[in-house]
Order: sequence, then structure tokens, then C-alpha cells
Amino acid sequence: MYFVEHFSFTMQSAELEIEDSFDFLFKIILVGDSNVGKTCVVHSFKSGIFIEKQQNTIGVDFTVRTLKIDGKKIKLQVWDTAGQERFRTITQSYYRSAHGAMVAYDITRRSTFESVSQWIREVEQYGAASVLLILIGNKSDLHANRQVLFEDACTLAQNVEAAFVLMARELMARNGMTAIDEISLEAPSLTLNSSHPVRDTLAPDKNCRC
Amino acid sequence: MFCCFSHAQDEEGGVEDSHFDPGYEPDWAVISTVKKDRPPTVLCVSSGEWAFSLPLSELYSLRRARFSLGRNFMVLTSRGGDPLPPLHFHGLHQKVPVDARLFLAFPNDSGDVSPSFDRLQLLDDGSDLVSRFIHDPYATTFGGFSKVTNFFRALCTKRNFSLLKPWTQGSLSVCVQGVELGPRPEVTRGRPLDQWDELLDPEGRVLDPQRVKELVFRGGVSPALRKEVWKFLLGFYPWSSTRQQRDDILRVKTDEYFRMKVQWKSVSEEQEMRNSLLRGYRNLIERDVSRTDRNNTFFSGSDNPGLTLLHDGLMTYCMYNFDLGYVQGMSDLLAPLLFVTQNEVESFWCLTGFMELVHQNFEESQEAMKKQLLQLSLLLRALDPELCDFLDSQDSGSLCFCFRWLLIWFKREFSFEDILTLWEVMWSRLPCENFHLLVACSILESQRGELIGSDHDFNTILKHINELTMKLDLHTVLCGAEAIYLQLAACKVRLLPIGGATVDQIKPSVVQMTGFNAFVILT
Repeated sequence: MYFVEHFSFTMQSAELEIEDSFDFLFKIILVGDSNVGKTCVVHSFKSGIFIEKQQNTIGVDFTVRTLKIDGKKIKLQVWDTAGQERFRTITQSYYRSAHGAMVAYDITRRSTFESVSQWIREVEQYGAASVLLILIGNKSDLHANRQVLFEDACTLAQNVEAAFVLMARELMARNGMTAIDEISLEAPSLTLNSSHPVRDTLAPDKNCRC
Repeated sequence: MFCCFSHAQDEEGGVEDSHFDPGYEPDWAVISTVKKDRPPTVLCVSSGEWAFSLPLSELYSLRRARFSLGRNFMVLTSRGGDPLPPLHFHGLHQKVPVDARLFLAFPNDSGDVSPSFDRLQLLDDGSDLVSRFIHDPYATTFGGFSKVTNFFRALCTKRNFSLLKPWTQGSLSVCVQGVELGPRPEVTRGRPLDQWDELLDPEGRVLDPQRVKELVFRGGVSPALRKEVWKFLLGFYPWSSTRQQRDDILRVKTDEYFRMKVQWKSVSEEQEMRNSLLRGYRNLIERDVSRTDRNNTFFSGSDNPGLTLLHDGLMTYCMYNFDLGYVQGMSDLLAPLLFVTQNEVESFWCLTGFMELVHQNFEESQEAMKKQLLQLSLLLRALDPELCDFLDSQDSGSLCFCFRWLLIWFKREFSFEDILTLWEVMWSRLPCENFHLLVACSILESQRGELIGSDHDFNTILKHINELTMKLDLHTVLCGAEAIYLQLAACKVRLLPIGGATVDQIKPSVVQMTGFNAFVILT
């Protein structure tokens, strides 16, 4: 996706930007099993700071960040959801009108990857028809305990038959999103005005783990 | 049975769905919806993307908006608690008294509801209404609704839906939320309870439990006494117990705790391989323990014994209530109990007492959460219709942004220290059982200016509410909640018994909440 801007601004300036005008507004929901690191992803996206122990998310949480991409101001609303199955009834009401969904799993826990298809079905069922999906393998700093190969994620991404684009990425929230900043120049990205975005998967990149 | 609505996107009231026309007045032509891309919550009929349909049995409430906002719209809420997209009506300027805006439709077995029928001004002659209503509630109800729009009838004719068929599984009750609120009194809070021994008789019985609860409600408990008083508040010790009896209870309960603890402790790895439920609970608990209140000294650092206590208490609770098991949020409930009691066994039994009050929040169906959100919205409607209308207009009438508040009793909204006070106040069960909903109302009302004034939308309402965390002043919130209670309790309510039930048959604790039609009916 399009994480281009550097993390030079502080929390306050990010707050101020919320009030600013924007060219595009994207609502993105973040789903996945419990404790795969969804909140850490959001938090590092927002502030660039990794917090080791995030509280579990109850219900739905919400973060906004404005980015500049291709000269356009993009306001991203990221919706962080509770992972436990029984709270899905409440989180589902926030799926609607999402433009994109990030399905996260933990590369050190196979079961969280096996849930991905279920999460994709959820998003398809309750989200808008044209929702874009990205698959995120989190905690790639713990590669010694890896249980999910990046190739598996790419295969899954390619095999999902749906009217959306799926990309697979691995991410290390611990490193902040600076990792993403670095890769963004080379990363395949969807052009903003493209009405038919291309299917794309990203090859593993051990250097930046994105 | 279905009721169907069509949304046509048109400012002038022109584009109606061609499938059904109407015997309805042009003024009531159903116009646009707020969110075009919202998927239908319920079965969608084939009359185009603006249509939705809802089985009548799923209809929970139908509400017209307040006219002062300059918007006319109607919100249907399904039994599941989801409000459907607001139906906007343009060009209607008919004045209707504020009181007669809400209709609740729900099946019930005994018909022991006591609505103020004289407030049902949208239904015609009140005289024989009750008998007609009892005889054929659906026909009467929707006959009344059709006076508003003629819409159901048009649909019935056109689509051959048997809308007027009587409800077969019980009666339908309709009530009108019509509460005229008096002034809200000033409330002051008291000092924390800081004397204990003098409240006990020589054997250690609490002399006047009600007095203790009142003191706790008014001012909380001083930190030094919490360890003792909480065990009474949470039912571990009966108020009438002597010191001797409490020693016995502790001994018995300690044995019982360790017996349950051994149960999960003695499950071998191999056994657990074949027990996916237990494995799932353990996994979740381990993950949540490592991220619960880690800033608190009792749980901070990597090898803090507090973490083991939290883990063990939650695992043992799984054995105590295996059907429920562990659900996220429960670690938030146990952590303060551990912090205060500093004792594994006592904190566990306090947790079971706390869970008695809230375990339904964690159940698979989430029905209790939906019900509370509905109750909250009814309450808020009585207290602040304008705020409610604003939230409705932003598709937020379901108040699902209050989910976290209600699930774990505001644990994430206040500092750890404040939560100890808030919880003990609410454990006093004074002045009414659902005081936590009044606390929620108090917070929401305190934010009305910000919410309406800044013209928040569905998204930013949630954001704003979530970001109130650690910014709320507990004292103000509690004073507000109690003031709301007093205001509601003071207001007159007219209860008209029907179906043989009288007010006496309604639980006293509910009647205490006079003026509180919503509770009378929902509890």
C-alpha cells in the first residue's frame, strides 16, 4: 500500500492534520486473530513508536493519519478491531463502507494464518463489495520462531478468488513503520485513481521486512 | 412477515421504486438514505439497491425523529440492535408532540406491560385502542403506523404480504416513551468510607448493611479498607456473617479454589492436545495476562508474581465456569481485584461475585450487550432526545461506540485508581441496578456539545468517544449519573395496567426507576 511519507511529524501535528482538508479519504479496517499485533501495527503507523505490550482491544478502536501520496492528501482512517470471535457481531458493524481491509496474522503462530480465510470471508460478507485487501504477516522480527512461510502467504493471496486485490506483506511493527517508509519507493502500489487495481504480491524482502 | 422500505435517492421525492406505489401521500414519499454503500443488514428484497426488508418479528422499534433538528426521518431498529439506515422524509412539516415518538414492538408472553396509551397520539381514538390492541396487536399497531405513512398498507396490497396477520407467538406490546422530566437536582458526593470496626457488632456482623452500601455509593471506600469491604460488596462474605463464620468461609473456599486449580494444573500436555477449548482458553489467557495493566506495579516487569496470579485466577475461573471460559475483557476485571486483595483465593472469589453481575456481557450470543445498548439508547432518548436524534442522523443510534464502556464497566476509560472507586460504587447496587447505564448517560450528556457542535460523523463519533479515555473526571461523571437517577425517579409516570398485570407485579427495583418506561418494559 501507500506508506510514503516519513515519520517526521509528531503526534500533535498528526492531530492537527485531521482537521485539514484532504483529497481522498480511505477507511481501512484491520482484522485478524487475537494478539497477532493489530494494535501495534496501528500504533506504529500512527506514531512510529512500538509499544511492547498493547492492551487487548475491546470493541473497535480508531486511528487517523494523513499522508501525502503523489501530491495528494490522503486521509486514512484505520479501524482496529477486537480479535476474539465472539466480539465479531460488534466489530462487523464497522466493516461497512470500508475501502480496504488489512488481514493480519502472526508469522510465529500457524493457527492465526489458518484463520485468514475466515477473516477474508468475513470482510467479503460484511464489507463493501469492492473492498481491497492486504494480508499482513506480523512479528517478522521473531523469524526464529517462524511457522508461516512468506511464500504460503503469497500463494494464499494469489489463490483468493475475489473481486479485490490481495497483497501479502510481512511487517515488523517493532521496528516502527520506518521499515515501510524505506520500502515504499520500490513497493508495488496501487495508483489512486485506478478503478481496476492490479493483483499484486510482493516478494519477500529480508532487509526491510515489509 | 416482512416490512419493506425503499430508499430512492432523490431530493424532490420523485424517484420511487416502481414496484410498489402507493397509496401513500406524496409528502411521505420515502427518500434517500444516508449511506449508499451500506450493505443490507437483513434480507434484501429485489426491488433495487435502495430497498431493504425486515421481518416484522425482527422489528424492535420504530422511531420518528425530533422535528426541531429540521430533519424528518424515521429509524427502524431490528431485534439484533442494529438500526437500519435512517429513512428520510422531505417536505413534511407536521408537528407531533415530542413524547409520542417512540414505538417499541416486541413479543411478550404475559402482556404485563404498562404503557401510557394515552400518549399514543398517532393512533386514533384512545378509547377502544387497548382492547383492539390486546385482540390483535399487530393489526392495531401497524394500523397506527399506517396513519403515518400508509406505507405498510400499500406494501401489503401490492406485495401480498400478510402484514396484518396476528402475531402467533405471543402478544405484541407497544409503548410510547413519554417522560416529562423535571429539573435535575444538584448532587454532592461524600467522603470515602474510612471507619469499619465501628460498623460491626462484637461478633463482627455488619450492623447495618444498607448504611454501609449507602456510604460506599456516596463516597467509595478508603484504600486501606477496600481489601475487607470488597469481599462483602462482591458477596464473598455475607453481610450477616460473624468473624468466625468468615474464617470458616475462607477455609472452605480456599479448599474449593485449589481443588479447581488442580483440575487445570493436572491436565497433561497430551490431554490438552485433545482439548481444543482448554487450549484456546489457555492461549488467550497467556496472551492477555501479558498485556493487562502492565503499568501497574503489581503487574509490571517481566517476572512479576502478579502475572502468575492473574493467569492462575483466570484459568481457575475457566474451571469454575467452563461454558463461559475465558473471554477477552475478563483479565481487566480480575486485575484490580488482585491488586486490592493481594490474594489469589480472595481475588478469585471476588471475581466470581463480579462476574455474577456481568457474565452475560461475555456470553457468545452477546444478547446482553445488545440489550444494554438498547436500554442505554432508550434512556438517552428520554434524557436528551436531541442528542439521540443527532446520533441517529449519523447512523450511530445503536450506540455501539459505548460497547467497551458496558462490557468491562468503564475499565479502560478511567485511571486504575478511579476504577477502584467507580466499581465499588456500582457494586453497592445503589440507587438502582442499572446504574452503570446512568453513568454512561452522564458521560454521553457531558459530550453532547462536542458531539453535536463539531458535527461528528459515524467515524469520528467513535474516535471521540474512544479518546475520552483517561480524560474524564470521575467525580463529575458520578454526580451526573446520580442526578439523572434523581431526576428520573422524581418524574411522574402513568402506568396503565393491561392484560391483567398490575404495577405490583413489576419488580420493585424496577418500579424504583419510575418515569423510566424503558426499564419497566425491558427488564
